[in-house]
Amino acid sequence: MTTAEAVEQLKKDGFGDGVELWKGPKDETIVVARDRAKKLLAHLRDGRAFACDLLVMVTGTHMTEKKDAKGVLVREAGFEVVWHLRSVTQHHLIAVKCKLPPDDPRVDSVSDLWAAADWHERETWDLVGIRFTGHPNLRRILLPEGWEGHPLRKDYAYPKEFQGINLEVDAPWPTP
Amino acid sequence: MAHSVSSTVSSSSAAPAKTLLLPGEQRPPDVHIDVRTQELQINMGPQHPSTHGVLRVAIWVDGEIVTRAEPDIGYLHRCAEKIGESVSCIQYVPYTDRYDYLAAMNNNLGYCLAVEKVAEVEVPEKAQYIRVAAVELNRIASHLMAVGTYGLDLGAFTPFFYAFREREEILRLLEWICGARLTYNFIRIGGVMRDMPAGWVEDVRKFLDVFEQRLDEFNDLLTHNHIFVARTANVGVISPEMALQYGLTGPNLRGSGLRYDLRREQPYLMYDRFTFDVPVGTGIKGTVGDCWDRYWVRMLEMKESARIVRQALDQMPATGEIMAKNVRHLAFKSKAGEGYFGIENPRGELGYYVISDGGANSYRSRIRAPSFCNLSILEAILPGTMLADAVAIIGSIDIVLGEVDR
Repeated sequence: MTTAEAVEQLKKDGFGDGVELWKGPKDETIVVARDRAKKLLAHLRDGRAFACDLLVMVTGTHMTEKKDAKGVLVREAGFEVVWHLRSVTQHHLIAVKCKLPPDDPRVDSVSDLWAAADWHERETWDLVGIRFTGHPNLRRILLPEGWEGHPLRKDYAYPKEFQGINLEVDAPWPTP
Repeated sequence: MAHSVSSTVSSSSAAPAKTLLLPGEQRPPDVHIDVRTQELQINMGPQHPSTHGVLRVAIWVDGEIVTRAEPDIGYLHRCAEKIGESVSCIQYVPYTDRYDYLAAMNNNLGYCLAVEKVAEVEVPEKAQYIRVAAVELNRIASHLMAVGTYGLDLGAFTPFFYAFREREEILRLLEWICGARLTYNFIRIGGVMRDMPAGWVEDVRKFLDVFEQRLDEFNDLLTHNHIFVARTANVGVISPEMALQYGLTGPNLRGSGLRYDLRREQPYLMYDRFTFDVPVGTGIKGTVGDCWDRYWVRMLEMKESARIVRQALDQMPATGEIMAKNVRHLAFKSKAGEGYFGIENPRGELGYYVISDGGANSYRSRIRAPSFCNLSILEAILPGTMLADAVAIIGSIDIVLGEVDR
């Protein structure tokens, strides 16, 4: 099933105007609002036509505002979460996207739908700072505990020191 | 926790015929031993010969049984995704080698395919065949490393050298074609770095001719060895439902019986032109989805990869371009858009999700590392096993920390 067909089926299944098809480029993606995201993902997992039993990954991106040469808004500020789902029985790959406001990056966790989401959401929290409500164990996974900030944000400032170690690039060598 | 172990000597008259008592000596009194165990937290790693990299697994043991396990990763985090935004797409290809450094060709390939999808670059046919040959040879090398070190983890020192003898030959071939043994930077955006040197194809064929016998040799040494089977059969059984829930892919998923291979599902490169089987675990030695099945799937996949390389070398056109025409390397700009491309890495589904805004750098390049997803199952599967089995299970998942931590 292609993503376009999936959106048609979802509209019939009761999601109506809550889902939209984003035609790319390059990948067609289902766009859903934040409050219906988990319901949609549960339906994609359990619905017989979709049967998305494998969660491939959860991606979070920090988007900064971008206007093109004419001043038209090309990219809104905020965050984006994309879930990629595969179905072993129906042999398709579906991408679902959700846009989050810049001052409140929260979305529901899907770790009770797929256990794989546990670590993916922890990594997204760690690096991008998107909070997944309902996650049983949302703490840093790749960076050490006590690290400040979320590095993959576009406005991330590199720390000057961490636990007493000087991290400045141009600092002089410490005298023995 | 108190375990009472009492060792009583039977006082009935049916005593063993020979009792080691000197004349006149009395039988020793009955002995009761009260053994109390406490839950102990120990660290497996980050320095450990069997964790295949800098992985720390915090294990809580009660006696010999693991009660809780928590993998702690991040020791090899090298800010891969942030670097993906800071350097241009062309410059990023050598970085991709270093994630799964045992299957670097596959890493290069995944990234190049994702960028080529977004930038709409058409790769010439001969380059695609060379890519297939390089990628499948690398798959064999990676699996040889996996099975060789798996034997090493369990204490089998000899098969390791036999596996590495073959792997050395493959690394020599790959060094001949691109100059590096482990981190190749060979598959570039738009094609491959250079054409095959004269004599390379003949040497690859010579290697493939002896490879199958060598695999049989390896089987005699390790696969059906009683001790190896006792340590891996019925150990670490992962059901297909659990495997799908935890996002397992690759030989780990196929070891549980699900015949799911991305080379068949969404054939990329030229995989729809080749004949090859997709082996799955069938529980010959124990249960479907145990460590032995995952190991056996890797062994069978090596045979299939050898078949694919032969077919690729046979079908390859004699002449052809090795790099796409419209890729200007010094000023490569992708098109605006985003795309996900997943390929079949030796460890599972390796995916790259590239968001580009039309510049030389990508706006976001997220790597879906198979080992990252495969590793999360340890929390669920280690509790209840013995500590020695934990080593067998971690080795059978076949992780590479470079891609777990990126």
